[in-house]
Amino acid sequence: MLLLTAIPAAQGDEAPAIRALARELAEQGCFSDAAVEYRRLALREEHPLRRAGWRWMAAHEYWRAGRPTLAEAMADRIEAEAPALLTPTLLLRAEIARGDRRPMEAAFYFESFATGAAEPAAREYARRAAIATRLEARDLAGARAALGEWTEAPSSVVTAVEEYAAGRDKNPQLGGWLGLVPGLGYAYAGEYANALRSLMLNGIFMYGMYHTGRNEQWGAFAVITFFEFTWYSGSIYGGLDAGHRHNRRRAETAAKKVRAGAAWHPDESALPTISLLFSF
Amino acid sequence: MKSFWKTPLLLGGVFLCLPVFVFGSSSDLAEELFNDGDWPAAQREAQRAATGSTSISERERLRWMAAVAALRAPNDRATREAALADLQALNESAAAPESRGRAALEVGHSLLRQGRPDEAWPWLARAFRSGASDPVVLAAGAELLWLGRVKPSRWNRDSDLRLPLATLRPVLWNLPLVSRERRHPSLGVRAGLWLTRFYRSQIRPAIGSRCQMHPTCSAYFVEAAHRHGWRSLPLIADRLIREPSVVQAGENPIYEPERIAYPDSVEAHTFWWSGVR
Repeated sequence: MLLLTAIPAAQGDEAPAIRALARELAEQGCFSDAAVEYRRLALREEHPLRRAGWRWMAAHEYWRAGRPTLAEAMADRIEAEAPALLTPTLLLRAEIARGDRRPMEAAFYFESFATGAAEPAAREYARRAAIATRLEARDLAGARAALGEWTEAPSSVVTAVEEYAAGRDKNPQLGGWLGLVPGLGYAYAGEYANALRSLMLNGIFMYGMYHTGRNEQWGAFAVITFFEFTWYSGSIYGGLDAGHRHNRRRAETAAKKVRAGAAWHPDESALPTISLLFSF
Repeated sequence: MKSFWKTPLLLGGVFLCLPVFVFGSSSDLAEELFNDGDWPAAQREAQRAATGSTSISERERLRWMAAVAALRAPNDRATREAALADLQALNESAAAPESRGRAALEVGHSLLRQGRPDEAWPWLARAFRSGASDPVVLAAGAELLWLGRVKPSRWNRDSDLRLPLATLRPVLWNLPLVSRERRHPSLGVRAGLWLTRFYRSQIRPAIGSRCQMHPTCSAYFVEAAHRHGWRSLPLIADRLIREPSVVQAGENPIYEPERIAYPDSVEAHTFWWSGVR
């Protein structure tokens, strides 16, 4: 009888050490390793809700490690094992999708979390994040619709959305066409230093082609032509990409204003019960 | 008197089982990590669990898992070669046909990924003949069928496989293949990759690592070349032109042991056409 109780106790004794290790690893930025330790705790846990709590922490660490596939695999297990943790898992799914640059999916999860969350702080965070994520996806109509549903929206959020709506995007295709003239595509997107570098490099290599061709140095001509082809194709590609970069940067700036530094983290003292703390 | 001895025997039995209880969870964790594709962690956990495992078949399975994870994790060449040698040894020594077959199949797949199809052939043939489970036999058969089609002289060594493979052809033909994964880069990209190798082996050791981006420009080009073929040339030209501006902007610095780098991934510049954001 004594031994039968000693077996779980022996395993249980290791749990605080594993938990401390996981926490320390996370503090040192070794999020993937911390996730593995939380998974170890989950596998030792018999109670489904407590096990799901540790899995939730593992998913959280995988998300912080920038490993969305593993984080989502954890989220799937949590939802299958403990439907009671569905609401905090929605927030995690939203953050994973956002980190993985799937903004429309992230916005859907943020909106679902806002609907299910009981605390006003959680709802405010989710609404801000949903609007910001829709702006990142350049879905202005969706951002305005989400703003319309939020009756107590702060004026700073309204201003950020309207400022974004008033601005103008660049046309990446036009940037690509302009890139046929070395550097002009970059200049169109406002990247003047890149434009100058592209113009100078293309100019030097074009002159090299002309000079070696004129002197019938065909070996050097072939090598310089290869490099010039690379620089010239880079100018066209850069023109296209600079347009996209500009539009993305503009949307991200607006999204940052909407978020206004809002953040959350799990309350570690309550683990494996998942309790979220929000800050603005 | 007899009942007097029963209690210590029972207690001894429970003590003997204790490591199995304790390490059992480690084996489950290795399995979970392996199935989720967390290769470095799966390798570590499988090695740890194999050390404590008392069952032969379990230890063979964990050894196989550790070696496969080591091959799929971003390990150095020596570790990968050691993992390959471990799989080859497992194929020779394993008691269970399943372990032998899986080890041979993995050696074959690994050699195919390294672009060594002639060396992969005998391992795939072993996996096919191993009498392992259907997925192992079918996967090996599908690779053999494709490799035999690409180079028919390969059949000379294993002509006895021709008939069973021809019979299974309708099933095998649509299976996913490692042999077809390898892309052959175009001439321009090969020239670029050769220049990168030359820079990494001859120039960088002399001048030191100059790039302040993450990944470095040479790593960026190699990644882009493998993923996007000829488009890697304009991508690297655009990267080299942008580099000073990105460093000057100094956004989201990454503090590495010997330098501060600024993130600039391939996806950040291909998201608008590759579908990967």
